Formats: sequence, C-alpha cells, structure tokens
Amino acid sequence: MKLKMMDRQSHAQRQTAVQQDIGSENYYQTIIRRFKRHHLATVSLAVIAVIVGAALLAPVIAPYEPNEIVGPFAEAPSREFWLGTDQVGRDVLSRLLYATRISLLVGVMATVISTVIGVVLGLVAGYFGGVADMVIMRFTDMVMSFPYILLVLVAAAIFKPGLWNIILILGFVDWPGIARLVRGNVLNLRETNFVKGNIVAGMPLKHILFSEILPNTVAPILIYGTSVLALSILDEAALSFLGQGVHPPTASLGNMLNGAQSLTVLTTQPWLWIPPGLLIVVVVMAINFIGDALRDALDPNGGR
Amino acid sequence: MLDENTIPLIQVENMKKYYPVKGGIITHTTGYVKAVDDVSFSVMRGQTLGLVGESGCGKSTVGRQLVGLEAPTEGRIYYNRCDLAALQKNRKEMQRVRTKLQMVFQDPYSSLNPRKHIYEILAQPMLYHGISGKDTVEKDILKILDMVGLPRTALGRYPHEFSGGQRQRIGIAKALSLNPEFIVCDEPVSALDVSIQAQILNLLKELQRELGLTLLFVGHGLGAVNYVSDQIAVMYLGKIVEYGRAKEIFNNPVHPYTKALLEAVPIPDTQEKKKQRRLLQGEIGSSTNPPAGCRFHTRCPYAQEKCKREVPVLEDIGCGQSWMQGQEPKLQKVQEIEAQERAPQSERGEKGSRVDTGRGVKHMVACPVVLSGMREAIHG
Repeated sequence: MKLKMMDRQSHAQRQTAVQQDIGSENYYQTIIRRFKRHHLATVSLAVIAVIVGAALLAPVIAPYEPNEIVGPFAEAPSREFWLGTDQVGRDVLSRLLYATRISLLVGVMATVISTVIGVVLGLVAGYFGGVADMVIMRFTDMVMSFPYILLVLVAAAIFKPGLWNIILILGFVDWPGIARLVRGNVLNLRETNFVKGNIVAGMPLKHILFSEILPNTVAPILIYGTSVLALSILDEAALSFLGQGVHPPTASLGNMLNGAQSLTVLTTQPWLWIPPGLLIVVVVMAINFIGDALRDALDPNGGR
Repeated sequence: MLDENTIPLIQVENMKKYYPVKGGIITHTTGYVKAVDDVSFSVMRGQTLGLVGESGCGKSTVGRQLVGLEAPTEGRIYYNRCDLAALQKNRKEMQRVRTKLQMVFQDPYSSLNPRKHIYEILAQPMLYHGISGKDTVEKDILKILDMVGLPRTALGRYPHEFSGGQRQRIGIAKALSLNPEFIVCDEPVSALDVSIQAQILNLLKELQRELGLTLLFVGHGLGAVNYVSDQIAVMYLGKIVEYGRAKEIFNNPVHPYTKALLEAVPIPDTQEKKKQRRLLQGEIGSSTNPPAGCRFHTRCPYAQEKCKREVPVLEDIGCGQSWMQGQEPKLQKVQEIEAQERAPQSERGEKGSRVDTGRGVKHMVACPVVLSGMREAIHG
C-alpha cells in the first residue's frame, strides 16, 4: 500500500517535471516535438532530404552526363549502368538524378509563385473587403472553375513549352486555394483584439498586414503549400508525359515516363519507367505525409 | 491651467452609430441596427466615467468610436476641444492624437499577438511613434512593467505563458506605453476570475491617480463600475437613461432600469434575500426596430400609456440631491430646477456652463413617469 502511494507520488512529481519542461520550451521546440510524434512524417522527411540531396549533388554523383550517349541502346541494368540505358543509349540513373532536380525545381518555384500571388490577393481581399474583396474573389472563383489541365495545355500550346514557361503556368494556376485560405484567415484576424489594438496604437497599415496578420497565417499557408508542392510535381509530370511540359533532351520525371507510352517499353524494358514512376510516388507521398504532420504540429489548439 | 479644469478632455455630442442591415435578393440596405442613438456626455480630465448597461446596449460601440476604431454615423467627438472627425484629414496630427487615446480590451486572451514576445509587443509602437529611442526603449518598458506589477523577466516571454490577469496587465502596459491621456477600458475585468478582478481594478485606479489619466470604464457589473467611476452613465438600447455622480446613481437610482440593474446585483446576505426583488423580465429589445416612445417601456414595471408615445429626454433632477424620500430640502431643490426651466434661455445657459465642473455634476434621468411623479410630489 505504502509502496503504491510512493509510486503515485513519484509519478506526480515526474508529471510536474514534464509540465515545467513544456512550459519553458519555446514555440519551435514545441513544433519539433509534436512533429516527431508522426513517425511516418519523420521518415518522409529523411527520404525527402536524401532525394533533395541527391538532386542537388547530381553533377557530382551522377556517373555519366545525362544527355550524352554513353552505352548501347536500351540495355538492362548492369554493373556499368545501374539502372540501364534508354533507347538512345543514355544512362538512366544519371538522367533520373537530373530529372529529379528539374521536377523539384518546377514544383518549388511554382509553389513559391502561387503562394506569393495567393497571399497578396488573399491579404488584400480579406483586409480591405468591399469591392476589392468581391472583384478578387470572383476572379479566384473563375480561375478555380476552369478545367485546370486543359488550361495548362492551352497555355503550354500558346507559349513555347520550356522549363520557365511550365513553372509560370503552374504558378499562375495553383494560387486560388491559397488566396481563399489566406482571405478566410485574415477575415478572422482582422477582428481580433490584437489587430485592433495596433490600429488604436496608430501603427501603419504595412505593420498591421505584414507584422501582425501575416505571421499568424504562416502555419496554414505552410500546410497548404505542401499540398500545392505535391500537386505541382504531379502536374509537371503529367504535362511532360503528354509532351507539353519540359522538353527533351532536358530530363524530367514526367518526360522520362514518356517513353512508357510504347508497348515494348512498358512490357520489356521496365527499368525505363519504374524508377521515375516510383520516385514521383515516393516524393509526392512523402510531401503529403509531412504536410499532415505539420498540420498537427502547428495547430495552436493541438494541446501537447 | 484654469482651462484644463473646466474644459472636458473628452466630449461627445449627439453620437449615433447605425449599422446597415443588408438583405433581399439584390443586396441592399433593408434597415439599420441603431447601436448608439443620440448619446452625449463629457469626461473631465483625470476623472472616470463608467458606462453601464446589459449586453447589446451599445456601450462598447461608444468606446470603440472614441479610440477611432469606428467612425460615428452622426455626431461629434471632441478631444481637448479638437473635433476628431476633422483631424482625420491631417494624418500626422491624427497619429499623434491616436496615441493619446488608448484602449484596454475585454478579452486578454486575444488582445496580444500570440506570435510575439512581450518586448516586441510593447516596443514596436513606442519605436514607431518615437516615444522612445532604440537605446532607451528597454529601460522604458521595464519601467512600465514595474508600474503594472509585472516581473522584469516577462520581457522575453510569449503571451501564452501568462495567466489571464497577467495578460490584462500587459494589455494595460501596452495602452500606457504610448503616454496616453485617455483610456477606454472595455469591460477589462469581465473575462477574469473574481479574485483577479479587484487587483486589476485597483491597478487601474492607482495608475489613474499616478499618471492623471482620464478613463472611460465600460462594464456591465455595477459594483466594479461604481468602484472606479466618478460619474456613471446608464445605457439602455443605445440611449443614456440616467447619468450622474457614481455615488448618487448607486445610492439613489431613479430610473426604473437603473433600479432593476442594482436589484439584480447578488446580495450575499441571507436576510436581504427574503426581500422581494423585482427582476426584469424578457430580453433587451431589438435595436433594429426599437420600441416606440421610451425604449424601456416593454420591460418597465411602471410603464404607462404615455411611455409608448413620448420619447423621454434627459432631465436634470438636481445635483447630488435625492428627492425620493420626499424630504423638504430635496423638494426645494426640485422647485429650484423648475424655476430654472422657466427662466429665460440666456440665464439657463450661464448656469449650465457653471455646473459643468467636476463637483456639481447633474443627475439626469430620462423617464417621463418618474419626472412627472416628482413634479406631483412637489405640487400635491
């Protein structure tokens, strides 16, 4: 009996110790601790880190030049060519490394562009309201209601397909979700007392928008941004697969899959399409897992 | 010097705030929410005006307009004899005046940016307005923290690390940091524990005395308001129904609504409990479509036919005198007022300007039944 009591006491002590620990940690430590509870996301983060690292270091670690013919046509993986060669005799592994680079670049840049557009429009619409809000939100609805892949195809047909065109097109298509998200958040924040307090304190609009309101919308933007990133990578792959994206000879994950359109490749040369296909799936899934974990980690009401 | 004592720091004249109600198939204005309807009052330098009323009577709206969060639909607000609406055109002057009119918010949990630590919250406005320099700001903030009773270690912490009472102290510190002359306290204690409420009220009183602040204290608890206020204005549905010295209102409430408010205050005495209490029935009327005549007539226990027609006007019933007991000297006072009413316009104006100092605050009531009852008591 006594032992039990003691045990309970020490447990209580331990608990208060834990609580003190939590009380003294700062915001970022809390986020990291919450994030770590998602094991899948932690693994995903490691996977993404490896992939990004490999992509960045492509010129160093790639065994061959990606666009040079270095071996026999369509050879199966061997000790010399780890992932085989393609139909014109280029090393698949080297191409895959460079392709990851391009695909990630497209994804990240498109996400940055759409986030900037979305945040600016969302801030303006949410804070000023009235006519500005109506015009911006109707325009947003319009962009959203467009059949998106069709829009991209048309745009890709009008402008010369190329790396930067693809980035711009994807960037200008992906922003409505972010604009809506930011607008909703700003509408809430505009009514909070700390924003009103700063208006009463005579702070300039610039300060209120970018120092008071924006930092409080970073978390949802970050979470939404991960899904935009995953989507952009998928869209790039789809476009390149359809021949409207990144143009050969530059390798991207999508146009590497392009080869799989022929039945011979699909059935007899799996080393040409399984690695890029798998990489797309892994990257997109990992990004989505990270987004999920971020959602929980950044949730201010998420408790401990 | 003399001017400072006789000119009110804040003067509100016929303030109205109507919010349009949108509706219909094609969005158009279908009506107005009359949140504040023709309210006038003034606050002398260094004094506290308490604004009381139940939820939705427009008391917070009055406060928000005073600090410039909203512009009145009609009417004027004077700060030190300057019309605030006219100041709007001059941005620099407006900013200077804005720092002089500050606000303490009701909910201490949402009045501080959760992403900033206390130093940032307090320092940014001070630096922006040049109230303190880069090298002096930390010292100045520490001084303010001392004033509001917060530990110096608070500086590097985030709002979520503080309790409600402490956050309210930070809110007060934020208002104080800009060297204001006038602070609107919008129900500053109603979100706090009872034990903390007294602390915050005392702090406000102390700071007022030390810094010579002028306060508008908005609240629905008559006890708290009475404790800090010099004068009290009781509001019902956007209108002031009774106005006077705090002591006077608290001890001798005249308007039926004020009486009801006071009777609703819980009494911890078991003997007192046995006394029949008249509590108000029903809800506060709609401010979109307020009752005709006296707005209180739908809930007033003394309501008569004429209350549905006559719109009551605030009338003076004599400064600092209670007439309800029907004692002689008090009756005399009322007769004096009646004489004053009959007196020519010029004389009244003269008298009016003299009564406007701190001590001789009028006791004004807007209720025809009470006023006519009073007259009958004198003549009959």
